[in-house]
Amino acid sequence: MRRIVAKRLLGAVVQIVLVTLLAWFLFYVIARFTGATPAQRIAGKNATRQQIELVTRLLGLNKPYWEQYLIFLNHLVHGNLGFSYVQMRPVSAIIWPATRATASLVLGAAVVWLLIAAPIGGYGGLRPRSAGDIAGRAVAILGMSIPVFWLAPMISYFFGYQPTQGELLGLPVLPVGTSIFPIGGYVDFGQDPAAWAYHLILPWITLAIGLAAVYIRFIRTLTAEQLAEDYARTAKAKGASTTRVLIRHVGRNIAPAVTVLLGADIATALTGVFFVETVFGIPGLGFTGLSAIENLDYPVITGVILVAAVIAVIANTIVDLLHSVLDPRLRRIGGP
Amino acid sequence: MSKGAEKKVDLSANEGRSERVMRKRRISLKRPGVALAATAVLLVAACGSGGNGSNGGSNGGSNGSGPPKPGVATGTLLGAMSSGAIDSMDPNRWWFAVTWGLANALCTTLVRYADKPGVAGTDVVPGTANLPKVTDNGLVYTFTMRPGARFSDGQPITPADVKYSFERLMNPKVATGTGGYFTDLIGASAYMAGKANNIPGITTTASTISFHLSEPDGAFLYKTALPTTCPVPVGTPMKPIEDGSLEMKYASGPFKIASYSPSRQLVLVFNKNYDQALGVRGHVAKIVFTIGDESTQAVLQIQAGQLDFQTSNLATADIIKLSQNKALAAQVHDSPRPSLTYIFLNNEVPPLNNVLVRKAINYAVNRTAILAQWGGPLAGAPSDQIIPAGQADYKKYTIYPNTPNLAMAKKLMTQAHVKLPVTLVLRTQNDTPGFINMAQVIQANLKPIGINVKIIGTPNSVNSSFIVNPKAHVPLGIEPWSLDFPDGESIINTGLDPSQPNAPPNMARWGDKAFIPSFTHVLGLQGAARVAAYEQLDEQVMAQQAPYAPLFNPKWYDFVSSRVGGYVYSEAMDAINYNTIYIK
Amino acid sequence: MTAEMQAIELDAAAQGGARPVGLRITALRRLRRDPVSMAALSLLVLLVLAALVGGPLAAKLTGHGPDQQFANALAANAQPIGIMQRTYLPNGTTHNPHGSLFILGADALGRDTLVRVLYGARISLLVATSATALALIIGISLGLLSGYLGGWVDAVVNRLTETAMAFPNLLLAVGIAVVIGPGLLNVVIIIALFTWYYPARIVRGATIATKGMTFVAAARTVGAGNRRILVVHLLPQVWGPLLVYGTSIIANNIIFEAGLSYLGVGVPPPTPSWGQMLSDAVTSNMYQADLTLALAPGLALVLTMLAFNLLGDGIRDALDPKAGGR
Repeated sequence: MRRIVAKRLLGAVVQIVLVTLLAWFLFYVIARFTGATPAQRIAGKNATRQQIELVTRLLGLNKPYWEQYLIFLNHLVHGNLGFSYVQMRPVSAIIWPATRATASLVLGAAVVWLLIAAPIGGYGGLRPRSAGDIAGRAVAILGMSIPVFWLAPMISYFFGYQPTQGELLGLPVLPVGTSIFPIGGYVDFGQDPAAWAYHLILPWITLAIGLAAVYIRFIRTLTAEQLAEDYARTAKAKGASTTRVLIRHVGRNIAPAVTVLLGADIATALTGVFFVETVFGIPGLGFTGLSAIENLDYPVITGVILVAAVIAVIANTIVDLLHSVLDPRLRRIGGP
Repeated sequence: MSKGAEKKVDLSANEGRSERVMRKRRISLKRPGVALAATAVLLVAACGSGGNGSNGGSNGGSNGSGPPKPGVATGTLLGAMSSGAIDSMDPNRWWFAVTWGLANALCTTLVRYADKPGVAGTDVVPGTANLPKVTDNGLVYTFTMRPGARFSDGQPITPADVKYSFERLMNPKVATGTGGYFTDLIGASAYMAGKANNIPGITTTASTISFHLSEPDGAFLYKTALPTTCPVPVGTPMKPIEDGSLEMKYASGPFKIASYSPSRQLVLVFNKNYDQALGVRGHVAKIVFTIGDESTQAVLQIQAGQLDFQTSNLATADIIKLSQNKALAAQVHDSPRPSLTYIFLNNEVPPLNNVLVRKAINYAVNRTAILAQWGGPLAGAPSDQIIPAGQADYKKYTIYPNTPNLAMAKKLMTQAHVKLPVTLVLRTQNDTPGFINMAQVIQANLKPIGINVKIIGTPNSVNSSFIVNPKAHVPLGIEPWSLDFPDGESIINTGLDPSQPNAPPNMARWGDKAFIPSFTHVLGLQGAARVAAYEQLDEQVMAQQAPYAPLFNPKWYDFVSSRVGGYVYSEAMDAINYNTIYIK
Repeated sequence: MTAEMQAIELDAAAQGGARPVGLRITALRRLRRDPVSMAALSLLVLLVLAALVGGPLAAKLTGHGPDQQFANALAANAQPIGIMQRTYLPNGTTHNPHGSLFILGADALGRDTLVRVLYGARISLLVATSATALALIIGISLGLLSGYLGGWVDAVVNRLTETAMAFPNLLLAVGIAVVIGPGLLNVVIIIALFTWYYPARIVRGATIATKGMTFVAAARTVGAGNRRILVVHLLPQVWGPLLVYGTSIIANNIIFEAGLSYLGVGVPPPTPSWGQMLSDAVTSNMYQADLTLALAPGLALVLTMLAFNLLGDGIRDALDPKAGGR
């Protein structure tokens, strides 16, 4: 067991190194060939050749690639994610607050989608092909099919803006000036927890809809499988009430699988939520990364990719380790 | 709660994914410094020009419906700006439209522009100094400092401080974008090349500062009002200071920075150490900018009463909606801008090197339809001239039509003997939907004359780095250009200097040597002669050479909350004037 | 998406051995008997038809090309005409009773929305299916290679796959697209680059499992060649999960392309793609002036996704009824 863990951890470290190499390669090396280099960008549009060369030297961009990469790694190890010349401040000062904002969004949404998915999925698994199950699956499929970049502006428009004009879903049924939800904006948790939550309600719901759909199906499948297992049937035969069986045994058995998936999804979500962030004005990782790309702010781009990838690697490592522990079959086949 | 602040919208126009509102300012080619893109000139003229404005209305309190008493500033305005709106917070470096709007509130330059709407807002009035005495046949400008000129920490602004500020803006280590305008200042070129450590052409006495030029410069007065000449105290470090600290301690305008959190928030507060005797300006106690708001969302928030103003161009859809809603008419403001949106035709890329082809393009583009994609008649007026309408040196001539004259265009193409069809790349920014739409109209316009346009849209900063690079040989591009100051020099000489076809701002790579003498000659002219010369030059360049296909002069269509009073858009700064706003 | 993929992987791993040959026939029969799947299939057939002929047909009937800009479809204040309205008279405010009819209205440039939605089906399907095909090719090859050769090749490819999976998808895709520029081919390649992971893992797992099977070793001693092993032993394990994956990933790729277009790095204009149309409507706020502009491509996307998802579900249930809880 310990060998597996050690091997996996080593693998994770190797992965992180690979990730840094790829990220750095993409944005420092390839960009050169498109003429949109960091030096050019920082030196500015009207820079002369001498200006660009000066900046190149200052940034150390004229050193051989491997040396640049080593310097980059060295900085990383010391927690220095680089310096953004576009914003004129250290990358870590940009990324950590952004990570907090995205974490607020994603983790809150995770709670919402689990709260939605667990009962619906559980019910569906419990009573397959009942009306409730079919309704749940229909809702899930629908939720999975709606692109989030469409959903976000629609939700903001219909539930944030229209009430203020006295309309609800297009019908003039509310008094003008009703403010049910703010149209956008973000307040730090530290500043005002109540406002923080209030501004995040619509974004949480937007993000949760798509993922709740996926989890409804997943939990339903798992629940149905569990209920078909011998132990569940035995418990019911012994007279245990359905709900008790469901929650105690099934819930406990599917929790690991769901947690494992949750970890992976949260890791992915941490940088995939920029549609929601952009529409609702949440200054998170996705939004920061996207702005950085559009501004050719390479240090920030690399920083965001790194943070995201490291989180993903960590999450995946935990997931895989849990997997090997939980599923003996995989251990035999040779591990993840 | 105050909600409205006027939004300044940068040229980046509409919401798009990230509002990179950038105003491009064309800097003189001779400037070797580092330039950031567009500076928004916020000529936020304070109410009344010069003197003690008796703009204070009949009521003294700011809770009344009229402007408050001079020196009384109350209330908080809430504004939103896009995440790319601020290029720099260093007062000698900034260049974007939105930042020049801030500059107008945070700084008082030697002379400044009047706080009036429209073309009256391009009149020069005293700032920290009186209007200069010009002697020696236009070679020496002497400014006498006015008694109330002070930094926000209470220290007086001395001529030595002003000289230091000018040197700082030209210092190669600070790397600003406007140094190139001062190359005729004696000793400036050597200083900008790093070969000298001060500028002998600027001399000071206890109460005056003089500028000695090597040759006459008809626009020099305007240059001393550039927001990059914002005064800083002697001894300010000669490197970029981007944390806003300079304008926290040393603001010289009616506002100073209270806090700045990059990409998050900027807070301005009323500067009590600004002497209202310099000009009655500033009627709001606090302005809070939220950075990162999309313009489309911001408009919804303003309508909902959750925000006061925003600083980006409005989307066509918003313009349509607002113009149809009579109830909001009082909150909508339509103002002229010193700006031209045009297509540059790269003279180094065949067949655009053929003047007949360039003229044909000017006959083939549908200026009205292109403007419709920008927002329609409320958002601008078609133009086939270089200098924007409304400028003093603009005189209307008509060479190319607003709707296509296909017959003429085809005739010219035939005369040009060019092998057709030909494919040309058109590059434009795509973080603003208006541009890609305009590009598609142009694509449809040029197809009938045998030019197949391939559109490449990239985010603004990527797009810029391609089009300013002569080696990239970008054939066509749609560009917005805002004048740095209200004079033809800042568009004709800066953007089309025929002696420097490879300079970054000369995206048309135009280098017709025959025009060099007239371009050089006009710079030294003054007054009526200068105006006439630019009018003529504009017409000659477009009639004979057509290096551009001018499209339209955009207008500033803005929407603010009902609390906002005293809204003025500065035509000299091309930005909202924060100094005139009061809360109703 | 991830949940589905993990589930498919677990399924594939859990299969372990070969399926009975008759499963394919039974699966097909089960599929045919499921009304929902059949409905989804018909919807998809309709979609393919629309993609193939719908666009040109609509263009012919209405007389509007997909890229044709009608200046008189915009009012004087630039507002596009709505559903079932005719073009304007030159004054820009009254409709021309003899003007051209726009069934779903026009977009911001005066182009026919209906025609563009139908042409958009082409692009969306084309990009999604070619990207999926490319992803499958890459994934299957790498999976086979690493599973069969084992050793350090396997280790390297595995690490590569996991590292690639760790990258933030959309962000990186946008970054790459900004660097290499727009274009149809570029979009296909970029999308494929982010979707080959799961096929690779599925095939790899199955290959390893096949390698380890005792009767394979036995078959080899009798002289069975690699090809026979592939077809008889490996294929049955993977075609199920790959089919399910394929259908759901096509759907996802449609959204991926739409997302890329939304961010401005997808198919270059004026080519209509649903994502492009949606993005134009939303980012410019034009949907507030005319909701059809967002509803038309949005509904098209939702319906397509629905069809693919339902079909994918149906296939999965047909292959392995236990998973569906039946």
